Amino acid sequence: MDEILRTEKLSKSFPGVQALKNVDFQLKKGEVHALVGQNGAGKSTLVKILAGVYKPDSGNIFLDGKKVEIKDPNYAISLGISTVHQSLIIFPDLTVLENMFIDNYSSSSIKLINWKNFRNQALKIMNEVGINIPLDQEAKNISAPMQKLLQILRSLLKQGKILILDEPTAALTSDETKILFENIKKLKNKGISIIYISHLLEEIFELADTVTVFRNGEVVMTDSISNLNLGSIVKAMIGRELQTFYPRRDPKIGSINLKVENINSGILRSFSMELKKGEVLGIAGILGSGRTTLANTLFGITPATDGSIFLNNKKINIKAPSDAVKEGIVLIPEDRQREGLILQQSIKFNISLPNVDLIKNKNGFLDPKKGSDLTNKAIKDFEIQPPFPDFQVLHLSGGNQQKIVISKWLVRDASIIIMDEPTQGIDVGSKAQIYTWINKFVEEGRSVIFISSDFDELVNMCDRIIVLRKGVVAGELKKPNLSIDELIALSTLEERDDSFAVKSFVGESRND
Amino acid sequence: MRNMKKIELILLGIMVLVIVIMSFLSKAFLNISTLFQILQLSAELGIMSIPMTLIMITGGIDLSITSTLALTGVIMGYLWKFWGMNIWLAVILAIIVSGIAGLFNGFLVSKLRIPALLATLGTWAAYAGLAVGIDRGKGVSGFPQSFLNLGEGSFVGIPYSLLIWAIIAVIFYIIVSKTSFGMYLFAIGNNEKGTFYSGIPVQKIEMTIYILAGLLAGLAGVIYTSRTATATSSAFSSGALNVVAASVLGGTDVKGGSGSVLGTVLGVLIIALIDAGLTLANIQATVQEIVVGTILISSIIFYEYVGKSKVKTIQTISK
Repeated sequence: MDEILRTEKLSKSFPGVQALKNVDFQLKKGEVHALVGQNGAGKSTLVKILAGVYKPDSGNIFLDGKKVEIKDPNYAISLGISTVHQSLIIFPDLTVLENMFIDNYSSSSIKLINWKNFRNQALKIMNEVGINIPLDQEAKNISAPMQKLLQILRSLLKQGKILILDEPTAALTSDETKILFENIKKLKNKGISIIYISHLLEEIFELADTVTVFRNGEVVMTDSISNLNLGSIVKAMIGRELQTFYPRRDPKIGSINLKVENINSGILRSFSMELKKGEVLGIAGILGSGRTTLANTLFGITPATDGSIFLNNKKINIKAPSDAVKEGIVLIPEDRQREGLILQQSIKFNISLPNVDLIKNKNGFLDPKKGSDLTNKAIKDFEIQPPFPDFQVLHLSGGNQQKIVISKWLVRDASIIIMDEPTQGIDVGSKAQIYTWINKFVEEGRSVIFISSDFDELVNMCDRIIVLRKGVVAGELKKPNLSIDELIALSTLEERDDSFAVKSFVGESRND
Repeated sequence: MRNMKKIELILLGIMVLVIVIMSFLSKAFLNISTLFQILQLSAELGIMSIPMTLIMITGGIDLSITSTLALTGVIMGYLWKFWGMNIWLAVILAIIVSGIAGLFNGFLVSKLRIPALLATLGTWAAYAGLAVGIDRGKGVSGFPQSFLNLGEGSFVGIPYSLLIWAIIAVIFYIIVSKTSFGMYLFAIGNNEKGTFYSGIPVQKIEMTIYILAGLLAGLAGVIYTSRTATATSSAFSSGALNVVAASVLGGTDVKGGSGSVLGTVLGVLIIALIDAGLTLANIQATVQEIVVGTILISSIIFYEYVGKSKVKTIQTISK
């Protein structure tokens, strides 16, 4: 295959960080080239340079063998390099066709828009790549993978030769991912070159031709997918062998800790559950099943409208997060940046914020020394990088940000920790650390409510999993009968044939 | 995030510069008692700009406090004159009313989630209207000397009103920089949602600062009435601009998350000194408003582009 893009000794640094070091990277025509690496390894910096968002400090970029200087995002697009961002940029109330040309209307602002011409262009490109999206549907009415494809087509309309896909499957279910992948393969066969970023290594084996692994701003490995396996990629990513990804734990499950009886809150309908000491309880379900509502209800963000909650056989009243914290119930929220952290502030500020009771002196004033001690302890226990209490949280990698969200609660004496998607968008190394802390936490006789879209993670980490569907319990699975297939079936199937139920399925807590 | 230490130093420098320039304009300027007289005029501004700073740190604003000031004076005067109430009891009751005015603002902003700018613009008009309704444009005067002493008297040469301002400033300096309450204000200003998710009672804190703003505006109203010997609904009518300008000049970020009591005190002092200087130089009051307006806008521009604290790099931290 011919080369279409090459970088030579590309370097870029930010205050305090060398983000890229002498990166040589080659993209061939018509290949899917996956970039993998932990958060902050340098893959995003590379694609941002290619997309014209950042300027490199040194090094060269060659496009079709000619040296180019990508000075801004528009210039990158004119060169045929298009980026499809992780967050969906569509206009839900406009039609698919309008969405496709949203940034092309103004090519000549006085002329009327020639819709017929646009429609023909759209049909032509869809025909060429073999993708079909109904042009007159409103964008909000097409499925999630189709919305993603819409973004991709929008890029192709600008004569895109190189597509950068940044975690395109982050918001998709596995079925939707399959649809997207089939279509990406069509693009590839049409000779479009694709740079693919994903945290899900399984996807890469399904899609990629070549894999480049980044670590600490350097390319540590580039190879054809056929020469690689999961172990070799993970080893290259973290620089050492990962013994067992999910650490082992011998569950010591004790008496009932938390008991929830018939609560209603938002989408949740007469929900009941029990949580035992020393238990990791998983909550599974698709988006909109009530998972996050459950977390927010137990933590007092959206208090239950009725029903009762008991902690150690004592009825408790949770009307606000401060009530939950007092009872020793804490939440690692789903939206790390907006709900979990004060990004503008330092590591020390963030760790101190919910723990002022621990860092006051006897007169009731904040003791800066105690604050620093608490922060340094968290930094050390949770291996936060860089290890400086005054460092602004905004500039940390996703994995380190999540470590702060978790450590700010774990430094205090919480008895129940609710984690809503704690490992989403973070690197394998940080993931493994989080799993280790979860195990350590429950081994001390405390409990974890673990909400995740990653069924593999749930099955490997949990003692028991409650599956939610449309606000009610669709089923409950217990160790050792936890299986991904059953989780998928329970969380997505609308009507269940009774014969489908396997032995591990314990039907209870349905609407009485 | 702003580098408040740097901003405070710059303000201190500006203040010295203003004093030097003013002393060239008028020999009387360097006299301590002249200085006290000038500053005495700014005690109400100083007292009100402190809670304004706290509110602005959380990302809010309270435009109603100057109306609360007038309302407090009018109610106090009414209770004393027409109900024959003891003057000090009238003072206490009027300050309680100002606290209720603040509570109502807090309710609108923190419970009903009405943008602070609009909520307090509404109550600014409502409280002013209430004051006019009670006062009917007549005003109350002839207060007993014991009450007038508050505005006129002094302790070892320092006017009472300045002492009160100083004590309040010190108390709030400690609250903002040394207590968890102060820490929460900054957290709310940076990210209200994230603060709530950290188990902090955000609504209670917002409620508290609006009540404080009402109470301190009430206190300022009492001092103003005593100093001018008249309770009138037109008291301090153009003051909102100065209160906001003093806080903003003092480095408080209108978008929330930054600010300091010391900065605001310096902001008040600078505005007071410039005002006095312009008066001494026989420059019209309308021009003075232009000057304050210009200070407001230019300090926003200055802090937005110049006063930003730089991202801390690993090198500077590990030093």
